[in-house]
This record gives sequence, C-alpha cells and structure tokens, in this order.
Amino acid sequence: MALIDYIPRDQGHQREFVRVFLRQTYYTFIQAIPLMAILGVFAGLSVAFQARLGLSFIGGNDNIGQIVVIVLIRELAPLMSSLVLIARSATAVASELATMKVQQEIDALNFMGINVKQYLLGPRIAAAMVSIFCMASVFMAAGMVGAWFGANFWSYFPLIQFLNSITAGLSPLDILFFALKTVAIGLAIFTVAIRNGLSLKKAPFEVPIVTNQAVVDALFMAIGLQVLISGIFYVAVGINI
Amino acid sequence: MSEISKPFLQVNNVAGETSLGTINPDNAFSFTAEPGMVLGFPEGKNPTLLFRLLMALGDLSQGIIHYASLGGGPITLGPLKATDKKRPLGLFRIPGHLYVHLGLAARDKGTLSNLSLLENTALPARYHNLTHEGIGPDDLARQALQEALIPEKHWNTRPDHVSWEYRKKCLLARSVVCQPKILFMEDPTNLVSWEKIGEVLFWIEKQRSRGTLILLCSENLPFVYAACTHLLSNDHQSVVPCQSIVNEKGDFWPALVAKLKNESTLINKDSHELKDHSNAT
Repeated sequence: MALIDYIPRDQGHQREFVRVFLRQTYYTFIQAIPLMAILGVFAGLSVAFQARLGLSFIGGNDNIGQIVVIVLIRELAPLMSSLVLIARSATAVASELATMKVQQEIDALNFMGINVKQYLLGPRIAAAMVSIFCMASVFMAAGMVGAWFGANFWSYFPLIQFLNSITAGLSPLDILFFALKTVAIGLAIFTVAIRNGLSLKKAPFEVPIVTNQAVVDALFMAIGLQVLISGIFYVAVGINI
Repeated sequence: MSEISKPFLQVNNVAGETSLGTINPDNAFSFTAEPGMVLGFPEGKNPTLLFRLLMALGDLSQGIIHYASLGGGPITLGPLKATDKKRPLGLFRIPGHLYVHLGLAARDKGTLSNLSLLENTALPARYHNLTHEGIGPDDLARQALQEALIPEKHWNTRPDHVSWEYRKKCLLARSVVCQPKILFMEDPTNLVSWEKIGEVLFWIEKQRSRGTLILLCSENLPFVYAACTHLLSNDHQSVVPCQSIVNEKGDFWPALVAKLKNESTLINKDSHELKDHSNAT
C-alpha cells in the first residue's frame, strides 16, 4: 500500500478529500470528546489514587508524577484511544464500506471517475490518524485533572508540586513516542477496518461478519503495535524511573 | 482510414469480464454509433456488462473499443496481451479526468446513502471541478435535478428517505451533470411507474437534442421502440433504424409507441411539471 496513492493532487479532488476528512474527524474525534474526557478523569483518578496509596508507605510522594506519566501518557492514553477508536469508528467504517459495496456505491464512484482511494479511503485514514492523536491528548489532559483529584483524595497535595512532579517525569521523547504511537495505531486500525470492509463480496449477510473480523483484527493490531512501540521506546531510552 | 473519418464510437468484436459477469466471445458486440443517436439494446444482462467494458471498468478478453474524440483526442481500449500482461493493445483504462465525458445511469443502486440528492448529483462535477459556461458544480446539479423533475423539497433529503422513483431520477440527473458526450442507461424505466414513463422519454429526448450519444438497454420493448432511434440486432453485430422494426411488427407496437410519445409531449417544458393526465385525456 503506497500512502502517496491516497493523497489527491487536483484542486477538486483535494476539496472533496478535505470535506470527507472533516466529516470523518467529526464522527471519530469530536463526538468522542465527552467519552474520552470521562474515561480520562476516572483513569487518572484511579492511577493517582493507587499510586499515592502505595507511595505514601515508602515516603515517595514526589514520584507520583512519574507514575502518572508512565501509566497515563505512555500506555493508557494510546491504549484507551485505540479501544474507543475500534469500538466506535473502526466498526462504523468497516460496516459502512461493506454496505457501500453491497449497494454498488463503490461501483458508482468508479463510473464517475472518482478515485476510490483518494475520495473514500484516504480521508478516512487521515482522519483516524489525526483523531486518535487528539483523542489520546484529550484523555491525557482529562487524566491529569483526574490524577490531581486522586492525589488529593486522602490528604492535600499541592498543585504546583503535582505539576513539578509531572514535568520531572516527562521528556520530549515521551511526547514524540506518544505522537508516533497514536498515529501508527490509528493508521493500522483503519487500514484493517478498510481492508475488511472492502473484502465483502456481494451478499448483505456478510456485513456483520466482516465487521466482526475487522474488530478482532484491529484489536490484535492495536495491542501488538502498542507493545512493539513501547518496547522500542524502552530499548531506545532505557527504563529510567 | 484517418482518425477524423472514423465513427464517434466504434466497438469491434468486444467480449470481456467485469465484476458483474462475463461477456463470452459467442456474444461479442460489434457496432458503431454517432452523436445524437439513441441506440437501444432490447435485453438486460449483456449490455449492462458491455457498458462497463466501454467505461473501462472491466477487462477486455478480445476486441477493440475506439472513441474518436474523448476529451479532445481519440482513445482506444484493448485487451491485455496474454503473453505480456503489462503491455496492453492500446489503453486498458481510461484516465480519470475523461470520465466527465461518460455518464452512466445505473439500474437501481448506486446513490451514495450519506449524501443528499443534491450532493449526490453534484459530486462528480465537484470532484472534477467542472464548470460549464460559468455555471459551477452546484448550479449544474440543480439544473440536472430540475430537468429530471425532482421536486425541490426533496433535494436536500438523503436517498433512503425518498421514493425509489426519485432515487432513480437522481441517478439520471447525476449521469448527465457533467454533460457527457456518451450516456449509458441501464433500464431507464426500472422503478418508474407506468404513468411517469413519459417523463423519462422526455428527459432522454432532451439529452439527445444536445447531441449526446445515448446507449440504452431495457427489456421494456415498447419503451425501447419509443425512445431509440436505432437498435442493435440480436446477434450484436449490426445497427438498424428503430422505426423500420416498429413498422414490421404490425399495428400493436406503433400504437404503444405513439401512446408513450404522446405522454412525453404532455410534459410542460416551461414549468417542468407533468400535466394532470386524467384531465388531459
């Protein structure tokens, strides 16, 4: 799959690409903001609460930021975003494309000389890559808020100290790998969803079958990439806690 | 023979395979057609497959398709050589931007369900960034919807929320929004009730008057006889004027054809509304 084939060059094609991209981003990211925020707050709260509980026994409260960074930013935000992306959007895209195939809508695009890769698939893949990064960022931001509440659950933990602790645990490489990881997982999930959606032959009864298959494949792909990229990160940076 | 003297569309012994099925060599098509003709194929499946081959949406197993002038220059489509699949005899795909010169009104499916009728109709014009005499894609779509006699109140409705008849008319409108040189029509009366067939006939006549070459397949023989100027023979090898066949069939067909044509003239061309048939009769 050459990604360059999915990028339009002519003006009219680009306009339609942007139109479809924005529509997909609306469904994938904008509509998912409340969900990501709620999940983020509860995840952050839970992580910080547990961490504070454990750290208070060994007098290591200052390390709470590092734990939040490791758990939330490196692992939980990309993972939860992947799961939400699969549950909400990969299923939708796989079943949408499968239905379009049954309804001969993809044939119709070919009649009109419309490049299916550039009109139908490219904008969706781009939207997935942007959306999952934004979803993970929302999760991370909400997670920080939740983490501060979690850290304050038993006793007062000053905000400045909390932020200092986070900053100390966060490196530019964390941000880089966070971006790389989310974008790569978004690309992989939607590529799998699209491949499964378009694999349908003709019959409508196959639509749920290919949708299920897309979910299973995307889950394996997302978790596999999560482990792989985390592995590369720890090999490159070292376990520096 | 020079390129200029060649017919507008030349199909020579064409057979091949598409996603919907295969035209066997026994049923190969050979004919020529000129602008302003309405060429009828009084059957269903094989012409549907042929239309896809003519649009280069399948693979020719044999034969040659020649367009004398598509987007300024001639285009020849041929099969891939069996010995060397990378080197076709002529082109085997039409460049994307030339599809504005080809319109296909599909039988029933093909409207994009997430777009309104207006967006569906405007899509090819928008995608190819098309303007005609200063008219932009959206206005071209509005014109096409008006011509197809779809009431304005349905224009911003999605296809699944309107009747099959309007979906069919949307397919018709979308097929001509780019003002193609060649229009392929699959069973134009499918999904259209009998009392509205005159509207379709009127619409076809309007496209023909613009010099569009129309290739039409249908099993609705009275309609084919009424709409077409020429017919392809059963052996797929020769084109004959339609009127001669109608006359050979005795009184039955001319009477039906005359009735259909009479219905089409009832359409009020100015308001784009159909007159009340019951009052008119």
